[in-house]
Amino acid sequence: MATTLNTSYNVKDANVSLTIIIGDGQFGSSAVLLDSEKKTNGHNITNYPLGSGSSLDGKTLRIVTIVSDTNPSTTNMDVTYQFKGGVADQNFSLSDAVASQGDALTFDASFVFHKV
Amino acid sequence: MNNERNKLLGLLLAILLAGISENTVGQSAGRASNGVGDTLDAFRTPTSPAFVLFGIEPTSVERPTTPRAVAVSLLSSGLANGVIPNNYAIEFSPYWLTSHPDLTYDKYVNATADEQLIQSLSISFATSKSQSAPDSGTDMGAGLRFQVSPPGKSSKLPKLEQDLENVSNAMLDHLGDKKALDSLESKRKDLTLQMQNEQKNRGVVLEFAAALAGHFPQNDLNNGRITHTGLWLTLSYKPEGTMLEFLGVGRLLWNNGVGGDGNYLDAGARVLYENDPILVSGEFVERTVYNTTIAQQSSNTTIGVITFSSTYRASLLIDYKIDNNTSLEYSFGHNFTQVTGINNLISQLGIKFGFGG
Repeated sequence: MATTLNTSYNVKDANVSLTIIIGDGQFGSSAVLLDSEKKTNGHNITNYPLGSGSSLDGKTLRIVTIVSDTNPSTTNMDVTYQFKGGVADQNFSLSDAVASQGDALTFDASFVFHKV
Repeated sequence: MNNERNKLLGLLLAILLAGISENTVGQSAGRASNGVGDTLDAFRTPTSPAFVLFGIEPTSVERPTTPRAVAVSLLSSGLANGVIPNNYAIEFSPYWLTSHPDLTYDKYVNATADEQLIQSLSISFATSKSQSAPDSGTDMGAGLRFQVSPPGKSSKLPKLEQDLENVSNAMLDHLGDKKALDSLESKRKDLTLQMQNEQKNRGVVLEFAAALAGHFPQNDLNNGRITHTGLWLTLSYKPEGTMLEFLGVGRLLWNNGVGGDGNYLDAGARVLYENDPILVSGEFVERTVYNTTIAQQSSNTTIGVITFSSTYRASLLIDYKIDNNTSLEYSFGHNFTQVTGINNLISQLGIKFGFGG
């Protein structure tokens, strides 16, 4: 069962970048798909260039993140998606907690780009 | 074959040690019975200092993980309404009661000493119906604990991180394939637990704990007094790639005239060598027993007198693991004099059995 988010992000003509922050000292890895086409994956996705706002208009960005409970001090998990280059820089976040030590959670977030 | 050889070696060692021991097998039970002849481990920084100072092991300890859960626990205990509960124990880490969305894995494993202090701080609190006093009072204890170590992480972590990233990426590539995901999940969990364990291996670790315990006759908060104070300091160092571990321990225990134990200042050190199936440990603990008394010298002169006496414990321990559930343990040395009187020789042979699992 995944923790999900479905929302939109308003863009201009400028280039848009994405940073994924996995919080609470936990370790995770993400796959980034634009209209089902895999763009990148990995643990560290910082200022990843998604393309110009014009090219993104109407497309859906899906980010699937598997977070493992590597932090022995907490079972909390947070994933923050930072978008830059759109109408306004914007953060979106998802939070959850695993039931027991060492478990993992899947965070599944989808963003539709709208050019304004 | 190897198992049989280990059992035979263990038996031979048992016979050899039994020959030079003054005690017989099975007498080691007296070692920890009075709480004073314990090995150095007894003086290490306790996980829950409030409970240790009390000398209690609560059957049920509440460990809330959110501020709301802390509030609910305190309210249901009655403490928030000024009622002292008879048997109540709570332990929590303030830092981890809330989420930390900006605390990435890399920041966490490379935390500075002050960040570690805040992250590792835990608070324990317990109440218990008084066992020793003639009234129907309650004992209460509160303690805190934290640890710090130099910034940096175990050299094994980068490989584990890479492996976990690879497994996670493989899972992301097979999101709709339940069979493949099930197969990868066991690897993922194994790596995750290894990383949890490896994060505790930071080389030099300094642990500190402090606790206060008090007695409240007739459950009256205004009529209580502090009965025990404890301070613990543990410094441990396990060099990577070696089978050695070094441990330094300091403990200050003030009993405020309660009980016959007096006040202790313990300082000790241990060197441990572990090369399966043999474990050899040498330790030394210096104990200063001190007592303070107030004497009226004349009508307008009062003097305070502090008396000190000291003793030590030095011992060598050899532990031979016969199999996963059985080990043979022999210790030899000098125990604290005031506890054992003239007979302060330690010479004990014991067999430890593990059950289950």
